[in-house]
Amino acid sequence: MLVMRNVHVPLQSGWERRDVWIEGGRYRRITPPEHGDFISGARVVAPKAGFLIPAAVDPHVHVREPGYDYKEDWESCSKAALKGGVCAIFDMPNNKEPVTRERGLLEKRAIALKKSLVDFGLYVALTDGNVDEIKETKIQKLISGVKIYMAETTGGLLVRSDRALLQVFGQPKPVLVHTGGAEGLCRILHFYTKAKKRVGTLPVLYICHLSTKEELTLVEGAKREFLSLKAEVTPHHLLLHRKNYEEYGSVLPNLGTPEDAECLWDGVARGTIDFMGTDHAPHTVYEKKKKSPPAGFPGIETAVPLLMTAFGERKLPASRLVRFTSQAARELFHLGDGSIMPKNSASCVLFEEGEWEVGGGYETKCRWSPFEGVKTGYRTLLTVVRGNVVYRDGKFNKRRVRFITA
Amino acid sequence: MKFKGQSIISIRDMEKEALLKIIETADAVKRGGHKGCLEGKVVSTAFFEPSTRTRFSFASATQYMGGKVIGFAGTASTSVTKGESLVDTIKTISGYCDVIVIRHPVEGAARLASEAATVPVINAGDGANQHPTQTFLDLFTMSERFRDLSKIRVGFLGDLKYGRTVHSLAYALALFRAPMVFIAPEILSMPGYLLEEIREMGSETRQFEALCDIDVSLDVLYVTRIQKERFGDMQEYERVAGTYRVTPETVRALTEGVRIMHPLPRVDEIDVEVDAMENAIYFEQAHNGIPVRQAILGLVMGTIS
Repeated sequence: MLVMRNVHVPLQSGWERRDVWIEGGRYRRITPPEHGDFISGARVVAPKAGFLIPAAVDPHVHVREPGYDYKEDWESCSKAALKGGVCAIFDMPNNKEPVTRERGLLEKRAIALKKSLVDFGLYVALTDGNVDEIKETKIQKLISGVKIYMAETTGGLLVRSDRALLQVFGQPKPVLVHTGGAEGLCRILHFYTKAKKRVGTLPVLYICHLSTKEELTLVEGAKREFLSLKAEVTPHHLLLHRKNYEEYGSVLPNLGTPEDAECLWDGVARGTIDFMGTDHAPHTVYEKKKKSPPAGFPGIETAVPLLMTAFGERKLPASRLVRFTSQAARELFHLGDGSIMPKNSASCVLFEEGEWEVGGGYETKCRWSPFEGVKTGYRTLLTVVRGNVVYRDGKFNKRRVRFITA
Repeated sequence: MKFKGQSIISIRDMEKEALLKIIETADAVKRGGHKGCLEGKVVSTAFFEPSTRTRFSFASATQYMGGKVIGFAGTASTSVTKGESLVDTIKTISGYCDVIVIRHPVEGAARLASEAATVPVINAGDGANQHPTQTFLDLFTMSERFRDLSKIRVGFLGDLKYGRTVHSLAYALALFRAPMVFIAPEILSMPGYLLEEIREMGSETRQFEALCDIDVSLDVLYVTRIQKERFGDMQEYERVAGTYRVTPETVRALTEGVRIMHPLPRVDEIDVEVDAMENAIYFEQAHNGIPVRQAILGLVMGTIS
């Protein structure tokens, strides 16, 4: 039995103080503080200013292994995830050798099962020639989605074939798209609309990392037509923009203007943007300082505390934060209800409220953050997965992890 | 559990005793009890996505008991994806009726509505989430045939990964610690988190990939549709759908007296020739939606106690 005393939990009405009782992997009781009887033998955690939320699920991660494990590997990435309050990650297929077939998926699954400290799912990359293979059961049973690159980025996986872009909607798993901007977004929506006439139920179309006002407006319009259209934004496109960040090379999509960032926040507040995806894309400091640095920021370790701070500053409801960082992705991947309610499986992260700065002590192998020096109002005390404390005060406890297929 | 004034949102909010109370009340209603108990009451059906069958069933249940129905169905589901406008709608409707029956395409919408409403809210389906009254009528139908719900063994067949009906019913049966059998192709098998939970609750479970592999007796075979959309490869779909199709032969090969249930609508996963067999009780099951919904409406409005 683990009891968290007098911690703030997100309810529809806002943050409320509660005692949370966890036993046998589940929440057992959520009581007003000090109302429950003390049970001897229970582990009690009673932080001064504790905030407990469902652990985040990150649908957009580049673990890098196999191929680039000098940048990051499954162990370091999953440790960074747990420290950041994330309990499940979904890995992109643009490795050194892109994951486009069964063999690549099996190899990656084997590595992750051995090294990962968090549950994980995998994506396969669409190419001009593999759409028929993706539809086959041997691949379907290994994937949580299909990733499409409509513009150049790390990995060189650009899809040009019209047939592939249409046929991919004839398979059931979520289709995640790196649009490269408004043009690519319109193009994929064109194929999605075309597919609607042919297929009964369309798979989810998931637009990765919105970065401009223009894209947001397009998505908002298209959402009226498609309930199965979903959108993601990264913490860095919300919190950083061209005026407040210039260091350490580039990221794709590029950071927008301050106005773009404000519009994206509106999208989050209104629910037009469904998911936080960190697009955790580590490169070494050496690589980032080169003349033409590779694109990408690490972010999984800092995302949730920073967003929680920003949600607080913007007076956005706690329930929205939970949907954005956890519940929406849980629904997408059929992971069951993660909200802090009796009987639900207990995967959560406990933060302490205070004043800190991002910097140092990184778990990610690349050991830097674009948020270096940024003020944060929360730091992780402990992360619980299915009732087990798997992270506490810089220490990890490796448990059996699950392979997820949406 | 006190029902009066309570919203019915998810099977997960229910205890075993509450389920037994609903079954007992539905039984009394079906035998002609509690006639006219909704006299002078107004039920509103707020259907943000169309579902003719469910809406008719609630309307019919109300009118047979003397109540009146107002409502709408199939509002363009666009502006309601913003939680804010849903709250306003529900707050307004609360003043026009004694209970709200809601169906909504977005998961969690019913819970949100129940928090905004000043009258009880009954969830008639939100997104891929919950549809508790379907579970109640399934349990009631089973209890009519087999008195003790803790002893019956139900086999679930078909799409067990995505089917919300199966998830809710399996959870409810686990409250009774009833043994269960799950029969599905690998890619549509029961989600691990749910299987684990059901086992923890004390139900014995078995998993099979084909109906012919089952080596235990079944009291009920609960059939669900395998949807084409779950497959990328149509040949694979045809093969699987063919394997899981229930015909008179498959029924005869099962335990004698096994009851065949289905949440309906069916396409061709059960051969129409099965309809005539004594084993088939899916139309009765659908008709039981009336007494069960009458019982629920009466209980939450406090006209049945």
